[in-house]
Amino acid sequence: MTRATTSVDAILRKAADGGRLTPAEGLALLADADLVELGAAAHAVRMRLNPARRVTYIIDRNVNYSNVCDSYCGFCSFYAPPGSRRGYLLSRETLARKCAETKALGGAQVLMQGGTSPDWDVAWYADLLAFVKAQGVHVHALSAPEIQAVARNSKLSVRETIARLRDAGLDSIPGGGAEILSDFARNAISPMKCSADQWIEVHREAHALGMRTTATMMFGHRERPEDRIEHFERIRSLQDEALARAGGADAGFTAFISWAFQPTNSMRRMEPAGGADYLRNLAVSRLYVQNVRHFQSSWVTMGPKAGQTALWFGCDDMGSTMIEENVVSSAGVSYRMTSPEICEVIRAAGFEPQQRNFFYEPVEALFLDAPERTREVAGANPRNAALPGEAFAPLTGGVSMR
Amino acid sequence: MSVCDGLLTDLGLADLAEACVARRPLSRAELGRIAAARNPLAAASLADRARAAASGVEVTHPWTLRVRAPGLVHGLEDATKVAHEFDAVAGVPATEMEMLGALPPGATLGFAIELVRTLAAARPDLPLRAITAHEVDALAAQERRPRKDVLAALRDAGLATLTWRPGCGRTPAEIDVHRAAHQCGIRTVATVGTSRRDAIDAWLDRLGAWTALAAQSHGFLAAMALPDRTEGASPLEGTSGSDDWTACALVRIAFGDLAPRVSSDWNVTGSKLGATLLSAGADDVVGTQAAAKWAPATDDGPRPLNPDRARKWIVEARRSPVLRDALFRRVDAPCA
Repeated sequence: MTRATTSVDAILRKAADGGRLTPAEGLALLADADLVELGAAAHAVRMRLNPARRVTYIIDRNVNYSNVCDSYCGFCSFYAPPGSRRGYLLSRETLARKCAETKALGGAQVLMQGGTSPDWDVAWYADLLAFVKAQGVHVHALSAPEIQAVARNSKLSVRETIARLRDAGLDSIPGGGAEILSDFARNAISPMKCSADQWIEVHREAHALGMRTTATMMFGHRERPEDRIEHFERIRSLQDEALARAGGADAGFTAFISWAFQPTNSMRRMEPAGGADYLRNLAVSRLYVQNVRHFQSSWVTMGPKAGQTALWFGCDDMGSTMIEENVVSSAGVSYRMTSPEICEVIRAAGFEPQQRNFFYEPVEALFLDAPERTREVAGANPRNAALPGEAFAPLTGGVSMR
Repeated sequence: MSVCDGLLTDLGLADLAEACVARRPLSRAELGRIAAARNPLAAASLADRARAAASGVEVTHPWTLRVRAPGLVHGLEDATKVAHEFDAVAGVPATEMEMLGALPPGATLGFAIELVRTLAAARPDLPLRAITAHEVDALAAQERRPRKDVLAALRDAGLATLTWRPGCGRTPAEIDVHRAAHQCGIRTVATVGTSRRDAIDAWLDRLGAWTALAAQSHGFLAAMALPDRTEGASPLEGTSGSDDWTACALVRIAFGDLAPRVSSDWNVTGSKLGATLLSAGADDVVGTQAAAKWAPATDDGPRPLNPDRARKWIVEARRSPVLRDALFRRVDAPCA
């Protein structure tokens, strides 16, 4: 056994036992650890934090209320620039129908994100969120870049913006837009989007207001290994703050969700990260960020089989059934499952499925979204552009939607 | 002690590690203990030790020119009439040629020979992988001739080795075809069929039949666990990622030194899971394609996995890619 292997083994044992990794140790694991050893250590952490051999999932849909965005990220093929004829804004009728379909299929949450528009301020968003909240769903909405844009458009502080959105109906904030929380990598792929500090600011302020959020990571593009470690470090530090503020109660991030970049748009010629890199990054993140309890498998980008394998590399959650997904599928990767399917996928991987809500509390699984019923309720391919009778409001330059 | 050493100890499997490193084939009871643990990481840990002892960091892979045979496109009567369509395969860089698509029902041995001859003549520089064991069995039954005669005729027409598809490798007759192939000098890949519906005892019996042939003939180029559904099948039908890990690991462990390589077919498992199987005992990758235009995307067609991506993913798995042909001979560069 070489000295390097001995050292990596020691780091892995330390992490598996709950030890806090240093950045140098995280880098060593990313670079040199054996993948199976990483999986075994990450699975040990998962079983310590979530002892039941249970894997949770949620029924919800990703509603993209608009695709108008002025961040111009190189990796995104979903957005339309302000003024583009491809821009759309979902009508209230459509939003209501999507919420009703979600509830009819046994879901109780919508994940709602759009883009960063220069036109919409906090009052506009408050109206939108109040409308969606009135449909009787948990509103998990608006990524940090969107909230930063709303604050900027409204000339409000981030905290005041979040407070007003919360009062209007915002229940929790998704981790979208994190990509890699290192300005070196962000400048390479999304220089117009909010900085790493600004992403952190949104989540810090939300946590301070008692809201729960999720943390995400999109890797496998132009980032360096040290950028990945910086990402883990910033998430872990922020979660430390949230937990300290809460005095031991559950607080801050509910979950960490990572996925591999899918080449598209101006970055379409890049080769994507493969399954081994996905599992390596996932396992190291599970070992590094042990103060976030739940880790989600990214079957939407990696496919159900790699998603099942991820359950042995630190994940205790299969995420959403994805009644609807528009952003990743615009990059050519499209997987969806109903809850009978996701339950079977979890069982086949060696675990017991449990439907949950946003807070990871168990809810009764009624299987209202059997495949044939999902087709009946939401259509064969429930995407924004495919809904029958969809009434998109085309957005042209300078049109305010107030 | 590593984390995996601890895991193996907890599961009562630590005593098997030494045999795996020595590449000693384990007994049926020992394999049953690994399967019964129902922990893909434990199985992979043992298999990866065997893999490391066998091939170090090398992962071999072909650069496959996948061609749908003309007779399979135009119908039985056209097998000999459209060879000119293959002029364009000249110059496509590759290290092996694979015939896509199943023989039509009722195809005769003469038809199959003509297909093989046509393909082999189109690129005589590339070893041809074509015709499944199941198809050989069907041809032998139809022609009322011994399998060995059928295989010899195909070999003489230019067949280098047998191919496979999801669902192959599940019957004793197929194993007998491989035995006959080895007897007439055709080396093959042992395709141990796996299915979501397999009982573990029955699957271990099947695995045992394949390894018994390997011990007898020493005619396998490699072995692989072959799921009966492609990744694109409903998640309710196919094997799970955990199943594929465990099956790949058990194939590696069971074959010991009886198969030079353990393959994973990324066209079947999906390339993202396939890349992870390099940590579950696999040290060979099938699934790259040299030219998409010769293999239209259909159910049994190729996935968009170019050799550059395959090599990147092999390197991500901390392995070193080595180019090979259909007979697992090292190749410095693809033929063009």
